[in-house]
Amino acid sequence: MDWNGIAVCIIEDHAATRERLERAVRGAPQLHLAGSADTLASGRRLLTATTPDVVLVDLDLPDGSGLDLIREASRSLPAADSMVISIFGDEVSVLAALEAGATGYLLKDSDDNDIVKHILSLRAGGSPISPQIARLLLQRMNPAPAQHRVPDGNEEALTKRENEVLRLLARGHTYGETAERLHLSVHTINSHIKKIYRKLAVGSCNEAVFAASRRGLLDLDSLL
Amino acid sequence: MFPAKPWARAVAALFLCLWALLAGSRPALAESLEPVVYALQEAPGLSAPGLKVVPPEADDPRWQRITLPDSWNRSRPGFGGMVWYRIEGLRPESASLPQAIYIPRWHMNGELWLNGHRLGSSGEFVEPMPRNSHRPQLFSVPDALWRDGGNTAHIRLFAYANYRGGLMAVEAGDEPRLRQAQGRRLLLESIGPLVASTLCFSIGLFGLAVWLRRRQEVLFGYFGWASVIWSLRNLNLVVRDIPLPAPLWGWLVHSGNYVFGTLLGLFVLRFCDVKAPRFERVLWAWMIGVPLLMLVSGLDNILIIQKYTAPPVLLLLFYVAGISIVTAWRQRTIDYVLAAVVMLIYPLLQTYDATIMLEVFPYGTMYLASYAGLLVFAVFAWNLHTRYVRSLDESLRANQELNSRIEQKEIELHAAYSSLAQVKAHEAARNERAMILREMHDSLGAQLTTTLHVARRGEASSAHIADEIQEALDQMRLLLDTTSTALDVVGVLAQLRHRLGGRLETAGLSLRWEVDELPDLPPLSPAHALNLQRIVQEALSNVIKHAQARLVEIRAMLEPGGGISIRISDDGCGLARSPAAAVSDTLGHGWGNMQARAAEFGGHVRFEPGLNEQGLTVHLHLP
Repeated sequence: MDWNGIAVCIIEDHAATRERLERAVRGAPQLHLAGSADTLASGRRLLTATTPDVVLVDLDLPDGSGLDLIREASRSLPAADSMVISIFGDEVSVLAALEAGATGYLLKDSDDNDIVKHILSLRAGGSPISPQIARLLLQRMNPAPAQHRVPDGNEEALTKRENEVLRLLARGHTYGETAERLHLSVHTINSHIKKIYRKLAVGSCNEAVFAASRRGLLDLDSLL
Repeated sequence: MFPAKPWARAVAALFLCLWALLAGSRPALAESLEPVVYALQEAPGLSAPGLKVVPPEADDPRWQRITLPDSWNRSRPGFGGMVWYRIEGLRPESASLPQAIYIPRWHMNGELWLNGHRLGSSGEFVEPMPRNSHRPQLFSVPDALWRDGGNTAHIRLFAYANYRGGLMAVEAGDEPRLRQAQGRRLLLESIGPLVASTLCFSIGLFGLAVWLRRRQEVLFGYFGWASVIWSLRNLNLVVRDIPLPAPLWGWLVHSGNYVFGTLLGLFVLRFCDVKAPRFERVLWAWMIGVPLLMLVSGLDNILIIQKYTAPPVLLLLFYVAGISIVTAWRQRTIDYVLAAVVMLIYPLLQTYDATIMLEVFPYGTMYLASYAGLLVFAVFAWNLHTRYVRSLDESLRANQELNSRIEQKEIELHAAYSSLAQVKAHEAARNERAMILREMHDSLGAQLTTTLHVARRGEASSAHIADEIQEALDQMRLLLDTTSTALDVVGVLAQLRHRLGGRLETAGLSLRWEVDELPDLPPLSPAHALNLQRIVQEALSNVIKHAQARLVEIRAMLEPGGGISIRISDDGCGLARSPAAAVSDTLGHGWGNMQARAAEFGGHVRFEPGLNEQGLTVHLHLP
């Protein structure tokens, strides 16, 4: 365990990607590779054996879904950040990961610099978000029209400010523009996003996807 | 004429047996031996000279000792006119009760005298002569009229020749008892048949009404006519003063009898589904022939003709009865059994009545055939009931069948419809997939092949190749954005910025983002989202490639006149100063492409001045 760096675990079955990520982590002085795994099972063992600050998880593992790992990590390592490794950053896999407790995502084609930048930014309190995901979060976390809604008392509503942030991001504004319009700092915007992610994860502890589809928010087919 | 079938012979034998039985059961004459009766026959006719209208003296030599009942057909056959009766030895039954004289039957019209006082009559002795064959007579006798020792009653009676004139035994006694006897006889002889005939008439009218509307219901026709004729004919029983000349009336009554019997026979034949056209013709011949014969041979001889024509008609009817019995035996349903019973009982009743006519029974025995109306009523009512219930059942069943067929058709239709919808949805999905694949081919494919070509020739740096591949990857992400979730216009623009923002930055362009929060818009279909994305992308890439601009602005707003306008403006060199090739490309392929894509969702693209004098604005209008 290296106390002077951010400990990173990588669970990715695609060898080339895994090696690239390992290389990127190793190459960054602020980061420290705690270990890497290529299956769900070995990933679990890795998480118990080490206490990483950041977990990079691929969703499609040969023996299961990386979502399980994210869920377990958010429970057993509440201080850690999980990031989902995605090719497209598409809202389906990202949103599922966010619900499971992830706080960010990495695109597989990011270059080494970007990877390090993203990890550092995440630890610094930043969370990436695409307009599409902001839009979905707005739909998910705001009360839906009454007829579609089954109150389950298990969700955390967004604050007014969080709503404003999400609305601007959903319209395509950058963090910077959003901060400017709301007279806030970019850092505050980042922490808002992170808070929103946490709320989403808490709200989706109990079969959130199904709850969401019950509320008419998510088309389940689009997830599968 | 008849097929010599065994059962037909049996019926004939039965007929003869009954005849004999009825004739043999003739009871001992209920003759009051006490009063002594004399009869005095006047000259024939109603207006003979010297006709007495008061009782003739007892010493008139024409008085003859007789016994009652006196049936003129027997005692004075062929006589029509006035007969006086003198009944000696009547005495009151008791001193405490009012006394009366009861005559169960006199026919046609009579007048009663007691001890020289006229007690009353059953009608005026004028033409048309009142007929009282079914009207038992009762006359109250004032106490003062009775004489101790012997009382003499006189009865003046008038009847036509061959009209079954006659007098039943005359009884004196307590008025309440005699009135009861009169009531009983009236009920059986007159009121009962009247009720039966009324029922018969009403249901007959009903049958006729049905038949008139539906001529194919021959059964209803036969039944209707038979019933109506029969009940009209039975008016004879209750009408005292006939509305027609007596001979004509008599002819109608007797013809009605024949017609009813024959129609009943025809009905039962049809009812039992017996195809016997020749036999039916015989029945028709009798039905028409006998009344005609009566008509041509003089109406005065109706009774004589009837004597000879009734037995064959009865035989015919018994034959039909045999048929109906056989059918009932085979079918064993209530309808057929009832028909058979009626068909058997009616000729029996007629036979019985005929034997009364033939004086087999004492004068005054009651006729019964009129009760046949009740039987007819029963058969018809039952038949109607069965038909009604059956047709109700049938219509119910037909209805159910119809309903289930409709349901089935509905299900089939629904299935066809949903499979059609499925096919359509499938088709739409396939079209979109095809479109996206085409887009992939056009953009990604072209880009990748170019990159591959350049890489193979070793002309490009690895950085350049990486850029190209990165762009291909970005293209693919953009494509996926349009298909993964339903995006509205703002969603498409925002996601486009998210994907391309880095590239604009790399190209040294700053982006001004002026996308209004548009009201909730319906999500675009993937195809439309893709078209919108491509138009904006094309405009942006033109700016990057040709405009030499520093600033690009994307502005989206609702237009006052409706629709949405999206403007991509730059501060570059515009069309005029771009290299010729680029211009022609922009105006040619690129511009046409944008127009075509905009047209797909009903929009259009215009070029307008840009952010500075030379700059260009691509203005996309969406409906």
